[in-house]
Amino acid sequence: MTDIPAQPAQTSGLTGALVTQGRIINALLFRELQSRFGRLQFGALWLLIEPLAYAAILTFVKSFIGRNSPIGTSLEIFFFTGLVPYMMFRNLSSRLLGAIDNNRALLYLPIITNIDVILARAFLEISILGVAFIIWMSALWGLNLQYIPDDPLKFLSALGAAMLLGMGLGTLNAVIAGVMPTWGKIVPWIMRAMFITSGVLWSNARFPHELMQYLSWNPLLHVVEWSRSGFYAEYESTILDRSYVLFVGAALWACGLVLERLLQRQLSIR
Amino acid sequence: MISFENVRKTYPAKGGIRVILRRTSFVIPPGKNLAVIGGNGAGKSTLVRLIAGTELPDSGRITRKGRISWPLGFSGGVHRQLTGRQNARFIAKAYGCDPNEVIDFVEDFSELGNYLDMPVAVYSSGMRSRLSFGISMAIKFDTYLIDETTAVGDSRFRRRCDEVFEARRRDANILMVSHSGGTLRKFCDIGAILQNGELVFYPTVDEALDAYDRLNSIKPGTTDDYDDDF
Repeated sequence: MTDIPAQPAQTSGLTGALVTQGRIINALLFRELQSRFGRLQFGALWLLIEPLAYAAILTFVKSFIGRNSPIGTSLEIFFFTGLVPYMMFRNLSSRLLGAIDNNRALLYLPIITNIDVILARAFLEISILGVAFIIWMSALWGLNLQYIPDDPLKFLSALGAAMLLGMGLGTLNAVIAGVMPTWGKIVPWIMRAMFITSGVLWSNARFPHELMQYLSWNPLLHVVEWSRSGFYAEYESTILDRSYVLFVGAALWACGLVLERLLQRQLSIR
Repeated sequence: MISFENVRKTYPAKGGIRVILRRTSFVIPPGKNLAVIGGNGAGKSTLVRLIAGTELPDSGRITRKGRISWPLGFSGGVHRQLTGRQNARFIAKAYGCDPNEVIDFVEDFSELGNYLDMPVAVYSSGMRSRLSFGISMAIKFDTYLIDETTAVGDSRFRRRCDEVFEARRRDANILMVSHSGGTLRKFCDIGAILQNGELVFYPTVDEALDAYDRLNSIKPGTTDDYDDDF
């Protein structure tokens, strides 16, 4: 008979709880990484190509019908500055959607909570997007040196806000999908509506004021405005409200966490 | 130590609810190995899941001290797309054990050979239960929750499990649910019957088994297997 492995050191109190949670999230992170990239190498490749491919296609179509870029001189950059924050938001919120539902088997291990699973997946997704972002920017830089944000800090904080918003909606999505799997079929339609009204494809400068009043309820519109006002020094957004984005992101997150507590019993039943 | 305070647990069933525990309070005596007996559908497995914390009571409080295992016998926590080795590594890390030691133990105990490096999806159900038993036995707990009603495996594997249980019993406690009176007598010191929403304790396993037979009007001592799953 083999020797039974030694018992790990026991820790207690708040530090102990944090150490335990950190250890669990770290273990989950590795497990998520293995199951995500274990088979689908193409998934990683597509992530890298997507914003550049979309920007190229959209530019081709728009230049074909003879449009100039609403801001700056390059249509590619105009689309890119909208697509990148949109992707940060969309990838986080849609990848988190399955966090609880895809990990039902983990409910048998009482040490692991739904929050651990959501946090681990969020960390992994943020890291992946971070790496992808560096590659996207390097690709742009390689193409032309003028493709550098005029206010890098503002541009990056817009991406941070996109992630906060994505994490908020994603946490809420994970909890709702945990009790109602059809939620996964509804969310893409919400995403499409948010995408169309977000200003990734157009600039609000040409829109009537009355319409903008309604569209500005979409937090993603503010994220895109934020991103473009960081990228283009000459671009002054008339509608950008940064605190609104942060508020919606934090509120969605809080709603997700509260709902997880309230639905704990439903989430634990197989 | 594990204690239940006014714990109620029910399930929705056809035409009403099924009561597993009706506002029950009890303390599982520390330092003892407990055999839980009960008829089909009395909720023995549910009781084990409540103790583990994988299921929540409708109301009441369950307090636990010390490290309590997940209900052994389930192949839960195992990711089908990952290999046996990757799963063992994950659970070891989550529970703060040295992954290499756990993998060494699992390799030896579960005798999966090359299958240890294949996705769990291709395993047979016997192999899967060997893997999850191996992983759970590799991690040290203060209390092992063993739900034998759901365990599978051939007699050779069961003998190996018995050997490890025997070794574990020296510095840990066992709470076991089984349909085999023999297994319960072998590993447990005290017994409890789960019936009509109550858990009633008896000082020895034999007394619990006899009381169970009397309650169900079976001549005491005549049945070794007190109950059979369909």
